[in-house]
Amino acid sequence: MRILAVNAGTSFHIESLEGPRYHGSFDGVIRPEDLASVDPAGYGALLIPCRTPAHRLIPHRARLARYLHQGGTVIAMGETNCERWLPGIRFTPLETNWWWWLDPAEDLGVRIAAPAHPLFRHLTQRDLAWHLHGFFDPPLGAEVLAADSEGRALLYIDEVTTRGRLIVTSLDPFYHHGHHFMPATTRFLDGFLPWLVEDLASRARAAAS
Amino acid sequence: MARVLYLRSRNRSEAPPAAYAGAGATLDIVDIADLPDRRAKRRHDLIVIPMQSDEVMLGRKKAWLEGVWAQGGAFLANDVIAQPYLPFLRPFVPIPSPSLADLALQRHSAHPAFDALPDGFHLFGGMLGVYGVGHNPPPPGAVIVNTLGHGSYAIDWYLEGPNRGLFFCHGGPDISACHSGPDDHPNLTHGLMQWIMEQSHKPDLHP
Repeated sequence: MRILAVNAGTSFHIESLEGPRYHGSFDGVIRPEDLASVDPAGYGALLIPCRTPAHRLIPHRARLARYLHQGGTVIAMGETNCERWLPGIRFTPLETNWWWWLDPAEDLGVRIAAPAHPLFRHLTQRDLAWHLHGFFDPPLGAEVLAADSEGRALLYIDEVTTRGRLIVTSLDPFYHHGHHFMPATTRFLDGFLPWLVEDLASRARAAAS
Repeated sequence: MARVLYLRSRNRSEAPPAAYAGAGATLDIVDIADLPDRRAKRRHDLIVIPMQSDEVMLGRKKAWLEGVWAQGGAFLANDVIAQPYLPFLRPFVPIPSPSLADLALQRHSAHPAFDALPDGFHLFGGMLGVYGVGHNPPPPGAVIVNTLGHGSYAIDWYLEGPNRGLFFCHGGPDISACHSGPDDHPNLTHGLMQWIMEQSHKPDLHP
């Protein structure tokens, strides 16, 4: 199973998706506009990185809905306004606390909510903590993987809204990694992408058997 | 009144940073994808390329950008560059594993937009590193204004072009986030925009 990533063309998208560290994780990289002609059905997952402008995805809502109906996985990262182009998303933005770590005693409050999930064989709690941009109200039946100090979802998996799978987060690691700033975001991608590759391979094996 | 063109890549519902609208000039906004595909008559005193610009699309608009540059156009360009969109630009080079001391800013050359700013103007909420973590390497002939990495990384530089054009490069997140609020005096973004426009000549707006 393979990953198709969308590249909206900013320097951090180019660095994250095409740079040497992660480009091997992706089997295809397309512009958002290419979703009009490229059918993601041949891919196990469609990854929309942080800060992809929503107005470039909204025209492709029907394509994304079809892909999800066929059982595909869509990963929507932070600051993509995914409530505007994916079904079942309820998002509340938060004022970002940019400088919480200047006080060594401060805690951003990000918590792993499902420690048994295989993702956390690759990630520790400190790999999730850089900024908060908002939280989600996931549908009943979704699995919340990470939450803020008030238990509100920051990263969750929804296999109930569609016949496919939505992996949704308000975290924005591609942005900061591609800007060469904030090592936690690189650690996040160092864990998240290998987990995703493993997960898709495992699902493919299960589907084939 | 001078005319500034802001090249938008982000969501259409998002206004440009307020500082760009307050430099005593008219601010026009265009989606990058809507720029001409070929050379066109220069119509603006300054082109602003904000952070998070679509460099792939800028590359597709290279003929227009180079045409503006050849006609004496002026640019204020922000952000790390991964895919250069003008011939003298080169990809960003980060400081390897920077310490906090590496991220401290050093003034390199006197510059009227920076000289009167308070110490620490580059600290966003007190944080080092938001102003920049490396540089888009300056081309030969560029004037280096500010550096990081103990003088080794030119975070701010400008290049004078043909016909009195000028390209100012800030190789970090948008410069409008630094000392450019309504209560900031002097206002870095306003001062920088005005200085760039003073250096270059006015576009010929005759039809």
